[in-house]
Amino acid sequence: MHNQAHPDPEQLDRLRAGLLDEHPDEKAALIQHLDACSTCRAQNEGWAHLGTAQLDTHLSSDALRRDLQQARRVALAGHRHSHARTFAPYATAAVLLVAVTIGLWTIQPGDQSRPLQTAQSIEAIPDTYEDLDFYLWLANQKDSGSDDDHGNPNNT
Amino acid sequence: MDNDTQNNLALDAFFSANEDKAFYVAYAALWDRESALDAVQESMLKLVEYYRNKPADDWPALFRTVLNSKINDIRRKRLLEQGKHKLVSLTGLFRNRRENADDDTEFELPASGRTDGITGPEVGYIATELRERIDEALQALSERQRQVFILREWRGMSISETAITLGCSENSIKQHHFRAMRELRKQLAEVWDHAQPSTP
Repeated sequence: MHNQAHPDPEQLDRLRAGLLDEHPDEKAALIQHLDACSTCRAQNEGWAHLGTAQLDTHLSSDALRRDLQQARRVALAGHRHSHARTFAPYATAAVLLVAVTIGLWTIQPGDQSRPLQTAQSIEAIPDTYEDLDFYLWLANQKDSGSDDDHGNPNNT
Repeated sequence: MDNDTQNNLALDAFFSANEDKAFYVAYAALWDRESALDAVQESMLKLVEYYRNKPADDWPALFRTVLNSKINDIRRKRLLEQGKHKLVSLTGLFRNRRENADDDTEFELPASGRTDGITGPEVGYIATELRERIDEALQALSERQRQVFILREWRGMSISETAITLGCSENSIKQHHFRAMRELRKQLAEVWDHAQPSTP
């Protein structure tokens, strides 16, 4: 029990906020009162319980801890992904270089595959050249035949 | 153990020690759990990506700066979205859908949220209303007051720890804490008896 009057609530708030640190006598007197007065002590400690409704509903510490752990894992894993992102351009450049080298090697002039292909394509059409004289003769015949038609006196 | 692994372990320890405080700083500013988690995760990612090779002593200040920047980004996005919603409501689009949504929620009973067997609608209503009033009162505080109040009262952090976390002086913390309590006392005068625990 105590026989002092209750202090102004604002004074209790000042004490709680630390604003009475520079006034040790006043602070000591209030602390002494709080030790003796359960009403003022409950009021002073009530601030810490003010947010418990919010904490209970959606800021449960277990769920929050899990979510924050997950966020940390994602952030640190993101670094490993960023390593992959850093090396991706070099890897692409290396692959392109290999592709270009192979391409150049394939089409270089001294390559044996190209003359072989040309020879094969010539061999594939020998009949055309074999009968060339016949086609020339036929063409000449057609030309002379049409000249004859033009010269036919019955056509007039 | 190579340097990269050591660096990863140091970062893991740093985040582990600071993620909780970072969350409550972001939560006090954004007043939304998921947005606060996003802000913390994106800040972690940015610190890992850009500042991991800085000296570990610089990490707290860098993390705080990045987190504040992320909070501002989210707040800016939110303002843009609010602007869009206002524009949409001015043009009258989606009005019917919103009216129907209101109709759907009209007959829902408030959840009691109690686990002690007292589940009457009146008790649930009072609890919900009380929670809403506290929520409104906390929202009415300035962002800095809210951050200080939450870190000091909900997290039980000391004055010096709060000052380091928020990057301001101890005197400033004391002033913001006191003003937050004075404002809350004023806002919650009507419901103060319910909000306070019963006298032992």
